[in-house]
Amino acid sequence: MTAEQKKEEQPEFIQFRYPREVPYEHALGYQSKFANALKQGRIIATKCPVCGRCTIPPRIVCPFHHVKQTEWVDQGQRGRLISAFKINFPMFNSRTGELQNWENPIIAVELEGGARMDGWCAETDPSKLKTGMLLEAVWRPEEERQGRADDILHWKPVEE
Amino acid sequence: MAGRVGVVAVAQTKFEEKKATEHTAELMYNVTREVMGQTGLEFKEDGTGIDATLAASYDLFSGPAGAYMFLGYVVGAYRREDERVLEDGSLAVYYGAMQILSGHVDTVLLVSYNKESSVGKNLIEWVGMDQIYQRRIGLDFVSAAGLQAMRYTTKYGITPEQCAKVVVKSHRNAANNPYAMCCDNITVEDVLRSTMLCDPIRVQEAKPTPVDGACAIILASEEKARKITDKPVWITGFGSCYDHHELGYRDLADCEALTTAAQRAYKMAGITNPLKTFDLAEISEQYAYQELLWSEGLGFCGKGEGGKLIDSGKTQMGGDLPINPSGGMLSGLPVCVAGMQRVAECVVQLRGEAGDRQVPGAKKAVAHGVDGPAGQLQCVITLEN
Ligand SMILES: [Zn+2]
Repeated sequence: MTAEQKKEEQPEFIQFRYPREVPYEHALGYQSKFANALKQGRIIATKCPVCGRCTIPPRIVCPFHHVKQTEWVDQGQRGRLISAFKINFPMFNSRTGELQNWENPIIAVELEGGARMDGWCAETDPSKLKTGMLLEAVWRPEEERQGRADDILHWKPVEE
Repeated sequence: MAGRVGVVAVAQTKFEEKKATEHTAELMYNVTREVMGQTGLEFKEDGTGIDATLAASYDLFSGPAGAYMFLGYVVGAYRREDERVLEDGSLAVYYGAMQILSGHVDTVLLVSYNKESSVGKNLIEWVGMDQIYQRRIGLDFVSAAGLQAMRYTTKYGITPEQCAKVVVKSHRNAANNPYAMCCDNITVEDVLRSTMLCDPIRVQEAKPTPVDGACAIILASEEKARKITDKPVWITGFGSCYDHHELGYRDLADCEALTTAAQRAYKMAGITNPLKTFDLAEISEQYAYQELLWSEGLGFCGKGEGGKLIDSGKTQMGGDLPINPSGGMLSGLPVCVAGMQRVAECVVQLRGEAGDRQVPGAKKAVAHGVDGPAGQLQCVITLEN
């Protein structure tokens, strides 16, 4: 086989890039109550009338009991660390849609009101994070809040 | 095969242009609870509750691909058998019936939901086209429909007036349907005067968009169905068929996939003369010409005779075979939900509970769902009381 024949058999493999934007508008409906509370610097959760579980994000029914959740419970400003991990890869910034590196570990917090939610920790040294440690919400300035999950900038450890 | 499959409950939301005050979960919850209330079925683990859940949704409308993963709990998809259909809701009925016929489960809850208002429908349907070549041309489902309408009306001499009559009928029927979105007192002249959307389709001849809403159905095995309700409606046949995606591979003037899907359903149901057999049809016409073309595929008339069929008056309320007593998609239904809602409408009719839109004494009905460009996917469900 000549070099020329070989060239014919191997086409140039092509890949197309299709960057596109899909603009969405999501109605929050019943969750608007939660979003409005965030704007005011408060965290509230829906509560199941059967098992008493509080849920964030607010759920229309208790996932366990399929009962409509109509009661809202204030969750306070503090919670205890359930779990944490340091992110060593770039993640999406939901406000910009851009990939970026995150200094702050992602954490799961159990709030004073009993609901669990996710967020970022102000403490960037993972070795200083201990399960059960007390944390407090640090908010964006009021004028920057939009009722979104990242209205809480991060959770900072509190001395006990 | 374990007996028949019965429809024991149906529910639908009011269909509206934009449900700005409701989260998608609320739409799903409302119809889910309504069918559970009708049957008394709950999510119990002792074998007396709902065995399985099955949703039909377009995640692309809900936001991220995989949106159902965080919405499934609303329909009870929690530590329970759950499946999902990504295309038209009629397929969920098809699939749910098969789950029951397999003997694997006795009751299945079906839910279909869509908020078209979340994102541009054209954009989503553009994404539905072949990503390398057709998107580059800009083809979407509307332009595909334009090509089909042009080919169909040219090949068979279907007139603009005949297509416009479909719109007039839909709106007139929708006036009797409290769930329908639009019911304008529109005339053939109004339709023909409306702006050209995609030659030869005019704005009034296209399904309005956006439309938000949801639908739910509970299916049960024959034995269970008889215990749950004294007015079960039986699924007697179902068939579906996929056509080529590339429009050039088909003759768009004919709908071979629908003919095949219908034949499969009719064979199962033992139906040989659909025009005579059915008391009503609820079909998915996103564009006026489609009611005529789909009528041919469903065997209500011969090829190219859809125009004559509407002229005959047979498909009007009071005719031999009223098509879309509910007003159909032209009166405003979200894609995906439409097919399941067509089945639900047939059930309401066969239970004699259709109020002002009731076809008196309806015994047998056919529902039809569609998806993809120019009716690429077709699904037919036959029902009787
Ligand atoms: Zn509960």
